[in-house]
Amino acid sequence: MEQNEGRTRAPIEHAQSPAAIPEAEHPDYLAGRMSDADDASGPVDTRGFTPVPDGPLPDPLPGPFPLPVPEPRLPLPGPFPGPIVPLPAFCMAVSGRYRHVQPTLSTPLPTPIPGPARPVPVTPFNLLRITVRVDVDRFFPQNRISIEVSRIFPASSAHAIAEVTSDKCTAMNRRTVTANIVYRDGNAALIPGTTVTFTARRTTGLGYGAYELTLSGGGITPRKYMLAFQSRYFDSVEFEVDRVDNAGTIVTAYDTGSHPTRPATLPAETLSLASIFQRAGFDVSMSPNTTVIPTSGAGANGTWSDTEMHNAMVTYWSRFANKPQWALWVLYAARHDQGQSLGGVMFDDIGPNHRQGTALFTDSFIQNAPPGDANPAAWRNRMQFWTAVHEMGHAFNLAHSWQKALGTPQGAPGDPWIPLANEPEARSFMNYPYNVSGGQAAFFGDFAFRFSDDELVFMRHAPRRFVQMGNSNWFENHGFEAPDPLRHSGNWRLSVRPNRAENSYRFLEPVTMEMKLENTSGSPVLVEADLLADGRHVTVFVQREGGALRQWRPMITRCHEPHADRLESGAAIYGAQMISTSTDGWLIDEPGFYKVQVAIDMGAEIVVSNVLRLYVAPPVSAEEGAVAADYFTEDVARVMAFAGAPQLSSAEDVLRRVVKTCATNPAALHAEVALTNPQLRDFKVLEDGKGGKGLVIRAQAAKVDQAAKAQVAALLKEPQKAADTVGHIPYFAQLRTVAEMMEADGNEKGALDLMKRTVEVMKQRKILASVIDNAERRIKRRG
Amino acid sequence: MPDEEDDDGGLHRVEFHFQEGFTGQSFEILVAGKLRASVTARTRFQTGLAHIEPVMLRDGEEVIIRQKDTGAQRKVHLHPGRPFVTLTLVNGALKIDALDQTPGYL
Ligand SMILES: [Zn+2]
Repeated sequence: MEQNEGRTRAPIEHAQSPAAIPEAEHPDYLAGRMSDADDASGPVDTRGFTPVPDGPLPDPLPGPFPLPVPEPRLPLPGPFPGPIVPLPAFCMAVSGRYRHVQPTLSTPLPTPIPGPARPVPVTPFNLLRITVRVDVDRFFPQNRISIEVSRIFPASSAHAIAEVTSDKCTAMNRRTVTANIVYRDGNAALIPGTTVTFTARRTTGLGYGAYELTLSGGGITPRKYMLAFQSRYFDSVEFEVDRVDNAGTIVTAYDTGSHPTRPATLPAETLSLASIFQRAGFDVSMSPNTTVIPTSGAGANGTWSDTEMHNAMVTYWSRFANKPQWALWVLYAARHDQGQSLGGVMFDDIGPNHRQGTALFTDSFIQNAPPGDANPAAWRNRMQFWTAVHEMGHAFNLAHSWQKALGTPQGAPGDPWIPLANEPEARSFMNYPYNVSGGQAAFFGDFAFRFSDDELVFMRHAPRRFVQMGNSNWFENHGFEAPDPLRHSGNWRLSVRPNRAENSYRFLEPVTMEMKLENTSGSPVLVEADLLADGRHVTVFVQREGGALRQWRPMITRCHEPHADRLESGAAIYGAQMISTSTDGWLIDEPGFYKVQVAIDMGAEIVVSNVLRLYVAPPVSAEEGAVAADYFTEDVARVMAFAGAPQLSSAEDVLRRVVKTCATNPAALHAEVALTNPQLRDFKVLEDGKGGKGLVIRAQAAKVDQAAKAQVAALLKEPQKAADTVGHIPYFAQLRTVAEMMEADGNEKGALDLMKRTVEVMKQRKILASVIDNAERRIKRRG
Repeated sequence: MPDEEDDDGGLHRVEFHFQEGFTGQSFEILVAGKLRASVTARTRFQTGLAHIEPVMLRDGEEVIIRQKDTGAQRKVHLHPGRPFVTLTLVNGALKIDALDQTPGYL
């Protein structure tokens, strides 16, 4: 025994610990599905044959099948070459949990020449998290497919359960399961259609290589989702078993052959708490942190109240947290305050997060084997084991078998999650053995150490918040709840902000957002430094209040060799994007309030930013209103985004009009920069060649001096106003470009002067010291 | 123990187990016409039990359970050797039984 932070740790004694029968040899285990070529219906007993998806391959390989092969149909093969009798197809088990994955996409190619870039495909953002649970084989199949969808932004979620109508194995490891949706929860639009089709098929190897989910029916265009196999279990759960020091030897396993009152068909094996819930569909891990709790925790009377147990849970359970989690604390204690009549209780209907703790009382009526019982010791072991599973079942929000239909009243919390019938005679862990007809002997004489079908459907397929410990309150299965928040690792903080004091913009003014991604993991990480700047990794959602949600896609993306830079803990990378225009036109083109949120796929998780609310003012002059119809066009959007596109001359005419008639509007400054930017360098455009020559490339000669003057005037005449509207990052980048072009054009003095003025503005704007340092170093190098 | 006789000639402990179907109803236990106990019962689903009320009774004393909100009352038939009285509320009506062993709750 060792002392550790006030906790006494000692191994929990187990009455027995041998293993359960291997599943492949277990009569209740369905290892897959077999069919011949022309009849694919009906599950086939394939015990002892096959492993799981992604598991070890069958050895020996399938065929000849150690299974009853259906009788070939007439005509029988005669002396003459007759019809070939097809070998039966076998399909391995597919039950388990799957996740939607995006197909791999090609990366955009770099634009070959500097000049008018074309919109390039961007990585579509995975907005939907889809989890699919397929339940057609392995232990106690319920012939259901359930689908869980959560959309990241705007946050919404949906859940659907479908009943299997057909399950076909058409060739080796080519399986199609079809099901009809019978239950929905949440935002139904996220799971359209009425029919669910799940396919699993072999690709290159012997096992399954590709999985797909199709939603169809109800008049929708079928939608297909590529899936990846995640687990043969539907969810993972951790149990921690602690005991009070006076609870005696506790029973956490039971030898099903040890008591003579049992079904003749019940295989003799040793079941554990873990194996019971594994067969119910959960990936069970047993916490190694088992604790022996001193009796003093029960207070002066030595028996336990629910509150004392709750306090003990908070103190001794290594995983305790006031939040939903797939984890459960099981306490073995001697006696409850109620006395011997309480054999066990899911005591945790206290506090904000219910159903996290259960207890079992070793000094209670569950020790009282009936007089004359053939094996009282085995009876006691069985009853203690059974009670532990029963209480744990309550933690999964299972009601007693005779309470299934109970509502208080209909439609209120406390109603069953779906209409259910009472099962007073059920041979389930959730029934009282001594309350069935014939009493406990009749119960255990026909008990297969499993939950009922309705209970398994609930545990495996109900909306997870109904089932997960610490989530829905005990006995409350109904009622709308907000969608589950996205899981955040806390490793990143993403923020979006304008680089100015107020989030309000003039009509016509392009809106630029700064993004900051901070490493909050506590340790250095490798990250692509251009992640926020290159336009390929960031997704921005823009929604005008009262309008539809739209997704921003950059009109310009920058390609570079992927390179990871070290980012210290607490350090951040930055980027800016003009979000008014997207590949499909203007996103911000009307006065009003808008909401903006940024998301970035970091691989392991999707990190989302704060939601920024911004205001776009109505036109302040007749001219602003008048130019709007010509301004908010795709061509103008391109000229603005690419900072110039001389071939779009009518769009340039519109911008000249803005410069002239809306001079006080910051849009005029953007227009000036866009119009003169192409003249900073030789600019190639495609033009119709004269005399039937087709398209020809024409180079426009740079007019650096003239363009630089215009740019400097626009950017530095009122630098505060200009930096406000352009945004720090693009503003200083543009000034640097102008200086470099002047220098390349031979105007070294002009360039140096511009660099110095730039640093002045940087200092006034109090931007990052490192950026100012770099700029000053560039000046020093020039002399 | 509940079924043990007290020294004080014929005094028995009887337990009234309010089990399923209670959602906050109040009851009075009247012994020989006098109020002996008041119980507000709300079933705890995970055990199927609302409340256990122990009452000491003498041989032959009449016990009446009265539901306060409706005024409905029922006489309890006590059996020697069955000191565990179970009460359930089914469609608004009390169902009363007596058992020889303590009911177990899980
Ligand atoms: Zn129970």
